[in-house]
Amino acid sequence: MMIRVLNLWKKFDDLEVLRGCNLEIKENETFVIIGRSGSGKSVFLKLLVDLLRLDEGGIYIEGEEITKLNKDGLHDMRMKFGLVFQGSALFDSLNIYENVSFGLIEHTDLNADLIQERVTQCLELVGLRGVESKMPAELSGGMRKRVAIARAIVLNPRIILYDEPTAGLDPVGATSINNLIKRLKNEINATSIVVTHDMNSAYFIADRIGMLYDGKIIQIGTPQEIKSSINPIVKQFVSGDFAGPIKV
Amino acid sequence: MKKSIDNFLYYIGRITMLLGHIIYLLFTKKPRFALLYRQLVKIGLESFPIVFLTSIFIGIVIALQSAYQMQKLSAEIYIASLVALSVVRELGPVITGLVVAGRVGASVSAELGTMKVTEQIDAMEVMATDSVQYLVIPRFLALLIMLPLLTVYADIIGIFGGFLIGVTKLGIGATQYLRLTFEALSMKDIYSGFTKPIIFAIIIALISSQEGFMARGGAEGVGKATTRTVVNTFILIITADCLITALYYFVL
Repeated sequence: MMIRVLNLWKKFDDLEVLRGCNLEIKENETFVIIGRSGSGKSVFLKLLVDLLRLDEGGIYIEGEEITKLNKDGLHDMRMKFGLVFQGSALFDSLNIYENVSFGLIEHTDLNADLIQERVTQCLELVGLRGVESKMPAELSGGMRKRVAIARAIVLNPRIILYDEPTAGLDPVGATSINNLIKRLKNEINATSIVVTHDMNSAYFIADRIGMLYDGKIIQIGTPQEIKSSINPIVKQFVSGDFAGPIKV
Repeated sequence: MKKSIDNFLYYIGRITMLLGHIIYLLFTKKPRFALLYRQLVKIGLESFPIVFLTSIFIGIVIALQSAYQMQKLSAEIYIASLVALSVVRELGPVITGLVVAGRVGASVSAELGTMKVTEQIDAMEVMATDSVQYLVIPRFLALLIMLPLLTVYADIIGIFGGFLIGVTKLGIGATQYLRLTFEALSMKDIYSGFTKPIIFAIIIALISSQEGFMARGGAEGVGKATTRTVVNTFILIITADCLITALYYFVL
């Protein structure tokens, strides 16, 4: 098992965001976590990479419990991840080339030519060419998202986390990002965890979908199983009905 | 009341941990010279013009104000030593510290705060890069190197401001003015004049970085962090100045 999450609890002041969440994610699968805004999906991703500390429970990445890792262990564990943030989180004082090459410069001894080659390769993989010298502010939201994906895959991570990859994009842009996520799964053989509330995107890219509600994963299934779920909460969420057990 | 005390202790705790982290990194990791160079230019070189302006006017104003009083006692000759002592002991370090805190501290805080609220710092951490090493150490070292240099520059320019008034308006000979200036200064003044900018640099780097790292909630949060940086560094610089002066001139 690539990732195992056991009885995960996280609260902020008095607000319990995760309340005993359990989940197992297999190697090379694309697992999509769906749920309402504020249900703790992004918190879940940040807990996986130890950007936030869990209150109770355990997270195991390839068998290693992340809360028990020392500084070096945490460093090595993070090298297994690439995270695509919701707002892209590109370094706005660096140009696109510097953004994508950041991890290579920090963590490898590659010479300038090899770095250049790898950056170009990653940018081409996400469908971008000739943007290396531009600053992030000069790019559209969709292009920034692509650069963020290129930056996340530059070190060949074993696990890629996507936080709302299609949020804020027009339908065509969203489809192109969905295609890209699906294509990358085949090309770089990484396990992907995607957090979204965009059901079209979830159905298209997921091998399995899990619904996070009230701090727990309440159902896991293939896109088809989720589509035809009889769980009233899942049913209401995927159909977008106003009436039902989910109170607005 | 309890919450305010908790918040205060939390703040002090975070600052102490940041200082500990910085000291650990300074002794265990090589600084990144390209980043350090960029900060030396941004923090140091670009501050010289404003330090020049504030210092020269301070020197001129001290000379003019004291001349106005001392002319009544025919004691204008003491203006050289008065300007030298005021500038080297107090006004040079303090005014430079405040100017740099306003100019650089606010900018560091806004820059790091924006990076924090747009998740750029989280992105750096996820890429297994220590954000303190990458972002804080170059700024910390640049302040530690440049603030003493800026202070020496401010001292020289401040004394030059007094010199201009002493020589042109009060008719003191240039050589005599300079002799009186150097005679007035003791080694203790030089030591205290160097201790202050080092402490002020640490205060500015720690507060501005910590406020940046703690920024929350978008543009408003960044604005608040920047304001807190300026207010807190100003208060701490004045307090530290008072303590260092008391230490040098009444204890040691």
